[in-house]
Parts: sequence; C-alpha cells; structure tokens
Amino acid sequence: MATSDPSQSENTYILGDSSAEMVRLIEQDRHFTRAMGGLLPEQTDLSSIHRVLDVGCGPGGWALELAQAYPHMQVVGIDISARMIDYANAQARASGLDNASFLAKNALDPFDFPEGSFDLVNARFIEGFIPTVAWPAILQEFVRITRPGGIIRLTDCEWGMTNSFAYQKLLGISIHAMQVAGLSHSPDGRNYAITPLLSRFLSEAGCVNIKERAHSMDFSAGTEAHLGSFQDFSIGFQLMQPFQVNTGVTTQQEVEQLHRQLTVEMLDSDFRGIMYFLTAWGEKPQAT
Amino acid sequence: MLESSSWRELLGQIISNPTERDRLAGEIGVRSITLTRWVNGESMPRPQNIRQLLYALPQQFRVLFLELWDGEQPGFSASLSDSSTSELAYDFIMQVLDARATTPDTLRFWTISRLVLQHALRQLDPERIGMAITVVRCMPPSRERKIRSLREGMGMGTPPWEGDLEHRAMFLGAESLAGHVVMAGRMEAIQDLNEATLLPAYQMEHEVSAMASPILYANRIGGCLLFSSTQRDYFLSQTRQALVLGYTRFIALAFEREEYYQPNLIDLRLMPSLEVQQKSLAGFQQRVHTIMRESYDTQHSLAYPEAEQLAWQQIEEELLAMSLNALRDN
Repeated sequence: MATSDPSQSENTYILGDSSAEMVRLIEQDRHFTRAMGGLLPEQTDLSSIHRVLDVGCGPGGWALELAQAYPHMQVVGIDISARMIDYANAQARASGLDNASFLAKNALDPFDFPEGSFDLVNARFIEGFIPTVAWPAILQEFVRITRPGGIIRLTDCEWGMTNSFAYQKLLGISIHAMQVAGLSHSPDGRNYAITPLLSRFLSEAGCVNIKERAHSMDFSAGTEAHLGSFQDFSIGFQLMQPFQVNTGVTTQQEVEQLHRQLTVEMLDSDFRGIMYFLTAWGEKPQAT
Repeated sequence: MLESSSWRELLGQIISNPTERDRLAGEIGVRSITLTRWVNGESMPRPQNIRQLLYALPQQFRVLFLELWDGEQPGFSASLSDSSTSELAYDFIMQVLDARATTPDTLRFWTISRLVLQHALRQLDPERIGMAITVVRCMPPSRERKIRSLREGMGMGTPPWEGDLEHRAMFLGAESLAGHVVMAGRMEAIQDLNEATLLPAYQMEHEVSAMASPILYANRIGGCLLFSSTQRDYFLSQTRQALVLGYTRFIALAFEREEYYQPNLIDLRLMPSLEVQQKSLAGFQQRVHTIMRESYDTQHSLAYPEAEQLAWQQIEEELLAMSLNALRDN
C-alpha cells in the first residue's frame, strides 16, 4: 500500500505519512504475503521476468523480498512518500541488494519510464490512495510501460468480515469516509468493493489472458494470524482517525470509544474474522 | 536430511531433481548446465554466485552447505559479515530520530523497536543464514523496589526462526545470558552454546551462538538486546560487535525514562524453565482481555499496553512463587 508526500503532489493516502504507519505497512506486508502463499504465487514461469515495477511500494517490503529471492530480477519500487522511499533504499543498502531501487514518484502522475520498460508491473493494496475516477488512466500507464507479452498484476482485498461490532462499525466509518473522499467504489458502504473491479480495469486497459486467484486469511482468536492482525488493525484504525474525522462522517469521541471497544472485542477468545484477497493479472498483447 | 562430505556432493544431491535444478539456476541467474559443472568440478562458482546460491537453497540445507563450503574455502563465513560496514547508516539514524520525535507515546516503543530490529536483521544477517533479535525488558520493581526478572518483549528473526517472535516471549532471570548482562551492565557473547561456558545461558532451538548488550540511559538499565545466531563464532567479528553496540544504543530511544533502573535495584531471581512457564503464558491474551474487559466495564478503561503490563506482572508473581516453592522442596 502506498503513502504520500513529494513536494508538488497532493497526498491522498488515508492513513497519512508517519513512522508508525511505515512500520505498520512493513509488518502488514509480511503477513499478507504469507497469507497469499508467497510473492508471486500464481506465476508459474518467472524465467522471462527480469524487470519489475512495484507501484505504491510503501517501505518496499514486497519489492525487497522479491529482489532478495530472485537475484536475476531488477526491481524498481515507486511511492509518493519520500519517507518510505528513503527507508526502502536504506534497507536495500543494508542487505547489499544491488538489484532493488526505489524512487519517490506520485502514481497519479504520468510515469517517465519509456514504453515497454518492464516485464511485470505490480500494484498491491493501492485502493487507499487512488481516486475512483483515476483507475482507468493509471491502468493505461501500466500497460504503456509494460513490454508486449508482459504482465500487469493487481492485488487488493476486502477488509474482513468479523463478529466484532466495533470492527464492523469502524470499517463502515472508513468506507463512508473514503466515499466522501472519492476513494471508494462501494455503492452502499458495506465493503470496499474494489476486488470485483480489478479484472474489469485490466480488460478495459486492453489486457488479454486475464485471470484471477483468491486467497483468504483467518485472523480469528487462536489462529497464527490473530496477534499480527490485532496489532495491524488496532494501529491502523488509530492512525486513520484524523482522516475519518476530517471527512465529517464521525467524531473524535466516537472513533476513540470504538477503538477501545475494538481492542476488547478482538482479544476475546470468541473473536472470529476472515479477510479475502484477490489477485487479478493480465498480459499486454503482443505487438501486431 | 542428506548426508554429504563436500559442498559439491550436497549440491549434486539437491539438483538431482530436475525441477529443483532449474529453479536454483533461475533464481541465481545461471544456466542449469553451470550448476552441473560446479558439481563435477569443471568450474568454480564466484563468491557472488555462492551468496546467491546460499539464499536460493532450501532452508534446511543452508547451514550444512555453508559449513562444507567453509571447509574448502576457509573464511567465507567471515567474509559474509565483513561485506557490511561497522557503521550505522546516516539515513537509518535519521529515521529512528524522526520516529522518536514524531510518534505518539502509545506507539513509540512498537515503532522504534521494529525500525531498529528490521534494520539490524538486514545488516547483521544479509545472507539470511539465521538470526533472531529480541528486546528484553526489565519488569517493574516489586514492592521491595527490586527488579526480580526480565521479560522478552518484541522479537524478530530470519529463518529458521519465524519473522515475529513475540508469541514465544518468556521470562528470564539470573540463569540466562540476558540476566547476566543486565546485572553486569556490559556486553557478553557466547560463541558456541554447545560447549561448556562459564556464562549462564538458556539455549533455544536452532541457537548456536548468542550475544547480549545492555540497554542503558544515564547509566541506568532498561534491559538488553539479545542476538542469537545459527552459526558458531558469529559474534567474534569486530564488525558485528560494533553493530550490536550501535543498535543497542539506538533501541534505548524506544524506552521511556522511567523504564530505566539504577543498577543497585537489579536483583534477578532464577526463573522456571520454558516448559513450566508455558502453562502460565498460554493464557496470556485471555488474561489481557479479562483485564481490559473489567476496566472497560468500570469506565476507567486501560490502554492495551497498560493491560498487557498488568498481565505480565500477574504471571511474574506466579512464576516467582513457583521458583520459591521449588527451592523449598529441594
């Protein structure tokens, strides 16, 4: 998931740009990658993938892991947040990775990469900063910078179904706030409704051989994912409070009260929750 | 587990599976025939190839492969560490200072600790041959104003340890390396936990060497940073020792001033074994939930870290009572 801040660009990321959010994204990235079975679990042939772009890379978790796991790949990550990019570059240097580099760029602006620059363009969890109206143009840019026969890969999620009243209420407030900010595709505010659209975006941008794969993550009490998810949501909802309140859909008092209730309910041994992820990918048509 | 007397033999056994051979070749960017030539002794991999191969090998073969390669090319393990500098990067320092300056109280420990541990793991174990780092914190003083035990807080590792070690946290006392370091107020290392040593030590699974460094502020002690490696003699390197000290100095920024204690207050007891502790630790989250639920109902609701601390203190009392009873019985 990406964030914000280059000087001339507007920051549209809903969780802001802070050290705490950066650390939360690193941890979340690790948990989500594990839940989805790896870095590129659906791609069976990686031999032709040499240059990879990760859009909205945040602090670089996925891109760094990819560069470390596949030394033959050159991985480039872009994110609007200079803080996240500095962190990702520092991590690459500390690991001695010379095949990973990170650039501060706004994904909402046209890319300055030449046409056909990448074998794979990847974007995970970017719904938190892409306005609904901007998706078609962004996908067109993805296609432009991908080589013919290369892959465009989108992954997003619906943020969980649980038996916690506070969780569901906070989720509803978040979606409502995103609707106000022009970031949600939801017609009724019940879920983000981004996953059903991923294939359509690829199709409308001209991709072919479009496929989908879904994953789920059970983060109920007692599961392996519970503690990590508890921290992720507890901190995430806390960091999202300014965005929620600023859109006028709630009050500081209400979200603070719900946050305390969320902590109690998620730690209950009866807590149940499942998240669902969808990866959709397609190929840029070969030149005719 | 395969039995091999040379790295060529081990690699040969691994790539006897054509799928695995092609995967390895793809991941390190060479042709499959090149792997076969290495195995047959027709050519030698370059140091960079070995680094890549080490990472691409299935986890269970990495340590053996490194030992066999070191046997033929002595000093390679040491060169893995010396590829890194002993200095902390300026941008890392600024990130930690920025986090210290801008993160709210409730998230400061979590944010700074993770920033430091993530960077330390990448710099101290760039080849991912196995390292765990744990933040060990002093428990608050007893009624007699003495620190009687330490507890493992946040922990992170590279394989074979899991990414996140928090759920394996336990209490440590005078019987542990961490306890010794906190009482002595200076860094100590055990280069081979399988050999007899004068230092006290608790050895966790996969751990072969360990180093601990006290977390200090104004000569007061908050705990220690505990480093574990799958490799013997991993902390002999001056470079690594300098980095361990540097990261320990930085993690000190995650603690509040009141979490540091005068050395004369440190009076660590012997804590029960992990097996005994696990019975009390198993219900930890439920214990935190009960404390939060009760405080929530009274409208004096506790924040999660406060409830967590109370739960730790309850368990500490139980474990210390168990230790005392065991001593009396003996």
